[in-house]
Amino acid sequence: MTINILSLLIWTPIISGLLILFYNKKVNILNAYNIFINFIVFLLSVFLLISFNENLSDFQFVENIKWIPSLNIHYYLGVDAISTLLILLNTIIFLIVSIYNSTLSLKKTNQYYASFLIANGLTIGVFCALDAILFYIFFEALLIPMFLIIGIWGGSNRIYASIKFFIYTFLGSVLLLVSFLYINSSISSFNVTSFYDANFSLVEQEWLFIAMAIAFAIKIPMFPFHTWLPDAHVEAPTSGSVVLAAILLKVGAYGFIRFVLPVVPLGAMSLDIYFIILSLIAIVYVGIIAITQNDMKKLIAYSSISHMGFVTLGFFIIFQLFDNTSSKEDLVISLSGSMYQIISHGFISAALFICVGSIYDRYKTKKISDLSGLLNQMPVYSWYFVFFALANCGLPGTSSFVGELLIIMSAFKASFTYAFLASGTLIISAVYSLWLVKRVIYGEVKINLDENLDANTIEKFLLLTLALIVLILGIYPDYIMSFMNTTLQHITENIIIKL
Amino acid sequence: MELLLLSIPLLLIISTVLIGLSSNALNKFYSGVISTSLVFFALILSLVVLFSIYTSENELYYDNFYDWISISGLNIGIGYLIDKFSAIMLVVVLFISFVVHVYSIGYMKDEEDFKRFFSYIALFTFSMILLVMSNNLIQLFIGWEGVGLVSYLLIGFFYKKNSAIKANLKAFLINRIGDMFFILGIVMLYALFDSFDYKTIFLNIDSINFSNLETYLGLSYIDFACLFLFIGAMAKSAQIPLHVWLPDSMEGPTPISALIHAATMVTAGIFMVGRLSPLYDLTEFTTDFILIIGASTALFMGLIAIFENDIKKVIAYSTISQLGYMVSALGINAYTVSFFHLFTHAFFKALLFLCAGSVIMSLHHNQDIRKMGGLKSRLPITYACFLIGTLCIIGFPLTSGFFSKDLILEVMLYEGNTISFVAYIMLLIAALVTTIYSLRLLFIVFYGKYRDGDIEKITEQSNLILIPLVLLAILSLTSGYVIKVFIDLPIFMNGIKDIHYGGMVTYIEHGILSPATLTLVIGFFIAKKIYKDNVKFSFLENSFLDKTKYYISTKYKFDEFFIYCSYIMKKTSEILTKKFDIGVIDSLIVNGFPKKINSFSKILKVTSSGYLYHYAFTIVFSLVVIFGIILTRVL
Repeated sequence: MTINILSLLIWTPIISGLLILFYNKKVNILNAYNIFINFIVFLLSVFLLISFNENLSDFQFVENIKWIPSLNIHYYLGVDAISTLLILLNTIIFLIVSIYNSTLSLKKTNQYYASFLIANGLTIGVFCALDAILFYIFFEALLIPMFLIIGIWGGSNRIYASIKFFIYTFLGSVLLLVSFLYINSSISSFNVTSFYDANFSLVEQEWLFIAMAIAFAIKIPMFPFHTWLPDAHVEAPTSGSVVLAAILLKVGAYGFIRFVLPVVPLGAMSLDIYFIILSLIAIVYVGIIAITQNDMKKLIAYSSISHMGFVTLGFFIIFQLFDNTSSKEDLVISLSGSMYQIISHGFISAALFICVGSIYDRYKTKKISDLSGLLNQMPVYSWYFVFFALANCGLPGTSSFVGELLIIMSAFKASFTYAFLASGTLIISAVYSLWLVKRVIYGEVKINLDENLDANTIEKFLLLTLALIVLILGIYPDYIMSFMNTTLQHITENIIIKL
Repeated sequence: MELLLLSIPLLLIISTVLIGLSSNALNKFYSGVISTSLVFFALILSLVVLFSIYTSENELYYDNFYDWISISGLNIGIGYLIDKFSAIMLVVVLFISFVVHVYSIGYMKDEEDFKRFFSYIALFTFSMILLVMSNNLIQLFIGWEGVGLVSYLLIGFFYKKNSAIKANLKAFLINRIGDMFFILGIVMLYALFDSFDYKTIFLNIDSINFSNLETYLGLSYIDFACLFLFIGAMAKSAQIPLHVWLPDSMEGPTPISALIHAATMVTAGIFMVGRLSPLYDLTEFTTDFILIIGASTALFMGLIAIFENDIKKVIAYSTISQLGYMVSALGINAYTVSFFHLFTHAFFKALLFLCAGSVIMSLHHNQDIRKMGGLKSRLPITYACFLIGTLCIIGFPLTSGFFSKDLILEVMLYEGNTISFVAYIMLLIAALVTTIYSLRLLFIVFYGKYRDGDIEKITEQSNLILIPLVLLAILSLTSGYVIKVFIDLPIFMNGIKDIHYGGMVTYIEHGILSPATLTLVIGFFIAKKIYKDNVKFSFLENSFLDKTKYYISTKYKFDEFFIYCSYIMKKTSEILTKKFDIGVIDSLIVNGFPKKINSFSKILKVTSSGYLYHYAFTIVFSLVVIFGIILTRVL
């Protein structure tokens, strides 16, 4: 018996999301429905993880149907280990968000939930589409629910933020579409696996690389394409920020490892130095900028950019690694570091945004200068906040240490300068995370609210879950490392063979 | 054996989680007892380990508990490497931790966050054990950061106090500076040996041709790797200029100052260098650097202690100074000599801190020695213990400090090169300084008249406080007699340094006749005259000495330097945000383009005005032009 699990994963939340638009009566039923659907999707992704055979390098659970034959477009789905892990990350985050949302009181609840459900399905689509046009459609469509979430349920300056977000990312998408069309024109296929087999001249690869890399760099975002993110985060509602940081940024990173590196490695190789420099700027410069932000969400947004700098660094040093050591293992380690950083950052940033969101719900401010001594009023929350802030600065035992360690390790093999600058994050991230903690959590109370403000049961449950995930990923990283090893080896082979 | 070794950290992590998450139903006292007994079991187990390593044929226990990461080309495990060196360290850590646990039940009894405190110290002990047991550099780093984390949490234990939360941030950030270099050192070794594992690294030292590696500024690859690792140790073991966090860390509860900031965590740097001694044997530059840093720290930080008035800060500066001694010994590759001082220092420094804690409690949290005095009669047991601690630290003959400090001075003198001779002189002066500040503290606190009201109200603390003191006092007196163990101590993969040692009696005779005894006598007279008899020497009152004194009491302005650095960083951040992120990227490019497009579209707008005659005119005009062009072509 064959079940098309990937289609099920994609369309269950999308269709449920469309259905929910026709019902807007009892909030309780909406909550239950929303959580139920997200839970089902989560179970499906767990099933996907269990039944995935990590020892095979080929795409699994493949579904391939002709969709628009005249244009060579297929409905072609399949997953490898990295997409499986990202899908799981995605479903966990959306489940957490749906539970978190049930504690809020909102306008147009059903539409809000619908946006998230649809975004959930579309993101899964992005991670398993193996046809470039299909990927592009999911990639683009994902903008719509996010645009609505920021634009309708956002803060006071939401219109500016949502339009900036939309135009920025749309600009990148256009470049992406052009590249896909160009590749199709020369190999007459949109199939990702045939993209890998295609051979382009160096000049072609360089142009394709620039176009695609800019598209994904905006999404990640890399310096200097990053300014949409802080604005979007500040205006987005808490759940929107969580999804934005934990999932949407990862779509950009996924694009790099799926489309850029294996398809145009020569182009990437000849221009890698610029992207390494941009990554290091992201790590150091954006980290320094994060220090003095007065808006907590902005601070975390900048810290996200800084952490994503590690991801791109891990991607782009592989060519210099290949030059220096020409051992495939070193490249795999570097890519593993980046992938691990992606997953780890997903959970940590989600938790931090939930913490900040809850503080905002209670005190109606996100300004650091307005807050102080939260530990006195909300101890449980505050300790979680401290924990995630420490995780954010890469404390060993938490998940973020693993990725950063592997990337610094690989960076050193590429060049001492890279490793030196990248390891500067140990200081910079500690400065912005713990200075934030000092000002907001410790000290005497500034705003005195008499009610019991501490985390409620649902929030405690969510934060505990995230904390446990972060700890387990930090203490026992081997499961995920081994899980994605074969796939990353395969991707690396695809890259090396063309160099 | 593996199960035995595994249960040591497990007991501690169980204690952390159990006490940390226990509900309010669990009484404070009982949670303290549970936590203490778990540490006690761990201590017993560590003694079993020590015993078995000294009796069995096995020189070494080595294995992994589990694979942290194991993919092709990269294997990192969490495991253990137990030789005599780490077994002794294990016992020391667990013993001090146990004593501090007992003491804390008494000391912290009135604190609201009693359980949080016990959870933290169990977590600290766990991380320290992880660090000591480690068989690879990554586990070492995990433990290293773990102890730093708990130190951060405990310095900020009283989180409402502004000074406490400033101090803990400072401690963490300064340590992070060290950690940045530490991790660079680790990856440098990894890149060279392709492994993080001590065993693999040490076994492959011989097979690597160091002359083939790049050099930079005349320094070899291994020089840099060891230097970076040592910078990490400088932060953790509070060496100039990264020592600034340790005096401030006294904001934490006093038992913590004894456990973390005197006896165990700050010695992690010394332990690390000892553990990696096969590498440090290869680098002359770095060991010279270590020697210079260590000797200067020993001398200059000791000087500050003479002018400090906070009882805990005096002991803190004395800790830094003693760590300087240990580091100096590392600088001449005398790792076990350094380790011997670490061993004895752990007992007597913990003793001094816990005595100080007892005094502070009896005086209701007064730490200013100018308000103390004459406590000898009211706190006899604390006084006796403090006296023993003082005698040890000044190296009074036959106490433990005598053995370990003299040994450092002796090997320094026998090293016989210029740097080590200069270091020897500095350490000798530092010994004089040690005598002065230690006796000053003793005289001011316990002799003379009480300066702050009614002395009759002051009473000794409960037995829970005093028993640990007596226990530590006994060990402080006796722990020096195991000198032979340390002279013969092998460190894994590193041979025993040849030290002239002609038996206990000869050593004692020799020690008493050494210049160190002279410093003791001179120091005693100076301290007695100035601080006990309060004699004013007119020749001491000149402007040069005043200036020197003023300069020392500014603590050489290291704090100001770091404050300035943080100011620069903040300003940079503000300027970059305003000028570049908002100024250039956002205003000029992101919002600039729409503006350009706007103004451009305004121009275009003129052409699409909506009036029919405009369009008609355009069409006619265009047709004329086109026909004109065609006509010119045809003609």
